[in-house]
Amino acid sequence: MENKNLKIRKTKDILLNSMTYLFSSFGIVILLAIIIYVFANGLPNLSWDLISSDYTSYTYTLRSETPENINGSLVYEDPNIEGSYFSSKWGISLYDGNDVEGNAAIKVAHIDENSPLNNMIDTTSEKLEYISLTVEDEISIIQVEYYSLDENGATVTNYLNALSRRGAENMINVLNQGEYISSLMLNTHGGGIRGSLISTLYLILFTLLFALPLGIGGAIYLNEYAPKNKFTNILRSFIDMIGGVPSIIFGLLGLTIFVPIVSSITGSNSGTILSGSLTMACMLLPTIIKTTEESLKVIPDSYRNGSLALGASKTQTIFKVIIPNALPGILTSVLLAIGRIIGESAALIFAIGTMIMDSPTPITQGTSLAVHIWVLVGGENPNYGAASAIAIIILLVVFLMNILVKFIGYRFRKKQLGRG
Amino acid sequence: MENVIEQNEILNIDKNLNEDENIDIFTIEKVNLFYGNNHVLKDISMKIKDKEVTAFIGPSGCGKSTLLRCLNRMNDLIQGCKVEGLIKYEDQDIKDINVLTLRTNVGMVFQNPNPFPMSIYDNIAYGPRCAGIKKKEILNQIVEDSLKKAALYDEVKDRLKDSALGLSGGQQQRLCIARCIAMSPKVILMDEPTSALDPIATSKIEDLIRELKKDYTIIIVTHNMQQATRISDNTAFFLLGEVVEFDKTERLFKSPQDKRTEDYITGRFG
Repeated sequence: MENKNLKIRKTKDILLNSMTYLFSSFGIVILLAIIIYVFANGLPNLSWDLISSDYTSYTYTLRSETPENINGSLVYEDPNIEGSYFSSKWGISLYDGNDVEGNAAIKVAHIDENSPLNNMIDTTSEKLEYISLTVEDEISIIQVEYYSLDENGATVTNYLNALSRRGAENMINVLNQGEYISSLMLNTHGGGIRGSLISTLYLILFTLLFALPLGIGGAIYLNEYAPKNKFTNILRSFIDMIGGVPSIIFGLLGLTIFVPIVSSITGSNSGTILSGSLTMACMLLPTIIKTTEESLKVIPDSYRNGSLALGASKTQTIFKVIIPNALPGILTSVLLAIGRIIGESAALIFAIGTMIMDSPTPITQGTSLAVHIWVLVGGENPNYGAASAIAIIILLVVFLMNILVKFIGYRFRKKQLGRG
Repeated sequence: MENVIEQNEILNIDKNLNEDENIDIFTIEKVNLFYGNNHVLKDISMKIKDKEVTAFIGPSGCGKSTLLRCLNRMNDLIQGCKVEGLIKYEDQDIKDINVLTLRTNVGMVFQNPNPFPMSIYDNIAYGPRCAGIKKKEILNQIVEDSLKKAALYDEVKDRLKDSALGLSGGQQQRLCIARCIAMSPKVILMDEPTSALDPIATSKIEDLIRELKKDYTIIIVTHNMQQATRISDNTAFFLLGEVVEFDKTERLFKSPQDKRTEDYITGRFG
């Protein structure tokens, strides 16, 4: 009988244990799948260029002033750069590359000092400055207009568009056919996220500026001053409920309340980073209040009593004993808030807009990194590669925040208990 | 004129000699205390002498700590606590004294050592700083004096900047006493200050209390009757929220007037 019972218990244990392992491994598999997908797609696109360059691409048209003089009379030396194609007629070496968003683009690998292409006029700017075509990774050639001679020796104008699709080799062949190049259209790549990074930093700064004093103040009130009665209980449950409101509803709130308010002050006619920050601040308040209150709660009453019994006032007790000790908790709430701001999209789409700006200010539009992803994938040609690259950045930042939270807590405990 | 003053002085001295007692620093009259509907202290009246050690003894839950906490109005912090009756500190109703002033004059040491998680120096300088003392030299002097008075200076003088939480339990408790002394109070309330300590640390604290008695009035709550006999001049025996007997320690332990006191000190209950 006892043996049988033991057997049943054993089987039950094994069953429950295996279920625990199964479910937890399920979670790990999902996490891994996300990380693998994001890294596989995004890593090839992740580069300093992506981070540092503009999103908007600009097109320049360059015109050659002295095309006839060259006419194939000079022969340039081949620098023999691997993977690139050289035109000895024009002294330029091109290769097939990718722009920051991962699209094919022809890039300049080398250009001879005396090449006629090195001395062209930029017709897009009003000043008509001379511009030299340099080994510039950010620029790709999208169109060439050149003249060639037909059998009778008459000049024929040729246009060549969508060069990037045909590749560098094809382009060099085309250039070699030409007797002179009349104009060249270049494209800066664009697709960078510098603007969105700056916007995100602004968002973090202003959101914390609004949310931290309110949130920490609220937590101190709730934990230190508020009497324990029905009213404060209701207040607490309201704060919990705000925490459960979907972010898109906060977006609506921002759109209907904060956008008009900020617009009336700054005169902007759209959502601004400021209105987005106010919206985010509302959204993050419950998180900040809760985390801070938890960290205040764990501070033993003996500290409060000890301080008060020394004749310190309540305010002194709070600012000199309670808050310094709650600092790791408060910092945790700050870092969690930063994580939320970086990752927020739905609320900001309403409260700011989806216009990606290259040089945003607090009173212009701008996109957080998550909204940037939304724009990239939500458009006509979803660009999963670039989106994944941004996702990697977001994941890394969030990961870093988590490590930082742990590190701060660890250092603080060590400092408190430290003997040296 | 001079004669009058002299006469007065002689009279005063005579008075002191006659009573052979110090003045009353606390006068407690008909104090009742309620936690909600719970009647915790019942009609308590007693007078506590200056520069003497008064011990409160009694079984758990008899209200001795509660009365102690009334004296520096720490009970104000407890929601639903209501105190009736009169408590006078130096002939002034404690309700009329600014609570911060009262707590500066009437310091408190708690059951569990509760140094703040900061350096030893900062722990002691905390009170004076809160009171508005900013000059470094004065603070240094206060810290040194307080630690010396609390018989802790020699043990920690080389590590004043270290965390107070690195000290042993007994050292922490003496630090708390030093922290209290730093405010130069007149009265020190001690709520079972040795109950969390080992015998050696306890005897050190007891020595310290005997030493401090010269300068301060000490009111100590203790579970340990031997401790009360060792260190106190007066003892009050509490039972179920009432003061059963309050007398000179020697008299109370040798010839208790009340049967219940006798039962308690002979160990029949409690």
